[in-house]
Amino acid sequence: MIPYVPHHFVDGDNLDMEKINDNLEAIGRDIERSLEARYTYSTITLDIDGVTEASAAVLRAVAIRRPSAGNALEVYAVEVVLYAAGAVVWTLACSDTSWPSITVTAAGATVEAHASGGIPVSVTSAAADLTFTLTPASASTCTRGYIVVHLRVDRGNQGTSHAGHFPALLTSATTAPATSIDAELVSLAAAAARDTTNSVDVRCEMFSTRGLTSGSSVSWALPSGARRILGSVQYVVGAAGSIATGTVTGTGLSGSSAAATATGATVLVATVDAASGSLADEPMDSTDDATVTITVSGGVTAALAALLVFWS
Amino acid sequence: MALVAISSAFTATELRANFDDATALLLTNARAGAKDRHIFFRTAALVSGSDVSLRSTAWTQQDDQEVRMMSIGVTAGSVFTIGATLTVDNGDTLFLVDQTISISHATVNGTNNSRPTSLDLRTTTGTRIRLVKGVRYRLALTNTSGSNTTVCQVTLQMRSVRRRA
Repeated sequence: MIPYVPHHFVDGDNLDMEKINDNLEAIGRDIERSLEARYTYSTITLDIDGVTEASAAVLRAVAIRRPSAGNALEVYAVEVVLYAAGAVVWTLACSDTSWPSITVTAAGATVEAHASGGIPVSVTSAAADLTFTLTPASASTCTRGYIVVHLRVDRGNQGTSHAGHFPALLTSATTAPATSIDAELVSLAAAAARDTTNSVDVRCEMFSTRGLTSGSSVSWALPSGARRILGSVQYVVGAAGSIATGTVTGTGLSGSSAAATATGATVLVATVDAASGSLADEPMDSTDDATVTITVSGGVTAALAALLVFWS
Repeated sequence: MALVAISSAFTATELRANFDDATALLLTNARAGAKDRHIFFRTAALVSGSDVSLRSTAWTQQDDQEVRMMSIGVTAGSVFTIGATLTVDNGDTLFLVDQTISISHATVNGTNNSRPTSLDLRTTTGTRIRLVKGVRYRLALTNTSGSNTTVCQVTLQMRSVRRRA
């Protein structure tokens, strides 16, 4: 979209009411077009390698929350990819029971079984998780698998009302044209400002590891791009005392570090961290990378450590 | 620029400044509307000949997004060759406009990555690949050297440009 106005006003010309109206309508249409492109998408993936029917539910689940109350984040679709011996049915159910569960039947240890669900469900809280839990109907071991959660954010609903812009046009009945023009330009500027607010979106990434021993860490290098960090949530499951610390570092980032201390093998513990800073948009230069690291400490292995990172 | 108040007597310049201000802001917003995201796959050991299930990840696109770049990062104890490919999961190459999207990287002893010479599709004159909503794609690693890696990660970066579309 390239915003433009059809008429260019020059001192000395006669002021034409229709030309002003044309310009007001043109910008209104541009704002509408921008609002129509309101959605942005991202994907998080949780590995479920090694999960069995005996695994605690929290080890078979992916959790997600939104970074703040003002973010209109929703799960747009979910996929399950499963490699497991035996024709066992696995069911993925959501903590929001209005979401219809999906099932996938294992087809072999090296044969992919895949199922997906396309019913959106809102991520309603910044303090509590929406979870999707995978459960086998009988004894089964997932030799390899992952849950893919597709997320969508509505930039037109980011805490500031943005229902578009509909200019009040000048007519022959306009008695105070300067006042009316001024009012419309003020309204127009406010609508454009709301459009600026709506450039803020939320995209999520998840990094996870299972069975990481105390004193160990794993890292991911992420090429830089057009995005800035909003915060993160560190999840951990493990025996009491296992500490998972997730950090995101990189040029331009203020640094994000969240540490979550496990309280038991069947409990998912989350710690939220706010962060800020933008990456340089140069993905081919590895010095501009963001580095994500999960470190486990406390002398206890983390059964599951997952870091959810929010970007905009 | 800032909003110029229109009073009982105003000039074309003042009027023009207000319209220009709004269009410039919308253009800035449209440019800021470019959103990047990654699909990545990381394995602790990439073994030659291993089943594709152990060295790939697949997903269904939920929106049209353009491929920007793809790279491999490796921590290895010796020199060998790693490959990465992006394919359409059902084999229909039409959804990659019949292009082969792959990179190859010779490791070194230690940690390094394939950039800056990896696949870079950001230029406006070269091949541009748009992944299509509703199509399932697969990102896979291969090790053709018969050795193991300690850590291997392939990253695909995509950009959404809906506000500028």
